Amino acid sequence: MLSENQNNFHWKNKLDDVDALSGETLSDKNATWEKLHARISGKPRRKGFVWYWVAAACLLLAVIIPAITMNKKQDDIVKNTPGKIELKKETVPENSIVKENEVARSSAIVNEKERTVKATRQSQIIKPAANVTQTQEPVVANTNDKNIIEKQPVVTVVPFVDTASLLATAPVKEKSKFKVVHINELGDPVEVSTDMVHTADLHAFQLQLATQEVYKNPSVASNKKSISILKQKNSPN
Amino acid sequence: MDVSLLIKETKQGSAAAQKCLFDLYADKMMLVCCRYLKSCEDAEEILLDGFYKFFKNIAAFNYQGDAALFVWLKKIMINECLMLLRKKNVFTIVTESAAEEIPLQEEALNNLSAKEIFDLIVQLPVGYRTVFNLYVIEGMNHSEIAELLGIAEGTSKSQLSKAKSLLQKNLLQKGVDYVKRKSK
Repeated sequence: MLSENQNNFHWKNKLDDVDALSGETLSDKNATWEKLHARISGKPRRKGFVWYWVAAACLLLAVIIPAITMNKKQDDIVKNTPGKIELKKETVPENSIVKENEVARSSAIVNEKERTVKATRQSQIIKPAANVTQTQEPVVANTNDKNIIEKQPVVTVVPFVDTASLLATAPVKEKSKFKVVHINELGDPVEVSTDMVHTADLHAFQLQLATQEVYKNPSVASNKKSISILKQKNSPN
Repeated sequence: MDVSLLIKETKQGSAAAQKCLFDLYADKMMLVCCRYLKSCEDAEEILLDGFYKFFKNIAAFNYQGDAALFVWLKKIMINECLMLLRKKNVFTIVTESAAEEIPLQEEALNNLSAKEIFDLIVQLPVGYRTVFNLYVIEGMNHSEIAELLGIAEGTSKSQLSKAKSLLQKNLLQKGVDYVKRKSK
């Protein structure tokens, strides 16, 4: 331990001499002093701040460039669709009048349509025998409706129409109706494939609902035992 | 040149006094910095930082002699050097068990000049050099060094013993060269 301390002491003495050496290590003392003096007198150090500014500028560019490109794209889209803009500009002053007209027209169309549908239904229920000719009425009514409805897109395209009027003017899909044919018109029973038998089931079922009479046809057998297949009429008519 | 007067004028903000103090101590402090840092650029940067702190905090300094001023300046420089070394993360050394203490040969030391010893120390790896400087030259103990560098005490001991063994090896080599030189 003692020898170690002595050894360290020798080293220390030697290195004190080293510290006392007149070193030529500082390359340019005046330049170093100038730097130091600049720092002491309060001039900011530029070395580190430059990188901060560069980083900030890069960040700013990264934010601004996409924003500008997005704006340009939006402008292009607007330029490509001038009709819509014109519509907007034109409809704004006359908005209330157009809206009222539209609502009135659409409600009238809907009322007419409802009436025609009701009338066709009633005629179907009351006169099932004359179906062939009467079923054309809804078709005619439909064509009329279509003529009216074809004008609707022009009406609905106009902006600022409330959802209620839009719903009212929207084309109502008619339920697909089966052609009602009297059982007597079908003729004699024919051997049919299972697919045809299936459609016959549907016809029979519809007739049964409409006239509230029971038709039975035990001669034509179906593969499905749960459903009774009807072919001949047992009713007095 | 009266250092006490220079200190007084420096406290009053005289740039000329500051320059005189800088001229007086810059080379010595540069050597201290070079003893801790291998790179001359780093040493110069640390010298600037150290003198900047010295001039900024000179109001708190009570002049009690040239030696005291030298010690104070040296302490500032060493702290700055250690801060830089910590920042560069050179003390992430794996803790090892303390190696056997190897006494350095006094004879070999006596045969070498101060400049040669300085060169030998500078050639040591950073971890060895720092611990060696703090323990042997600055006179700190291992617990102080461990706290200062943020390493374990055992690590400080092992670094010191390795530094000494490496120095011993280099000293012997230098001693052989010295004997050869003398014999010629």
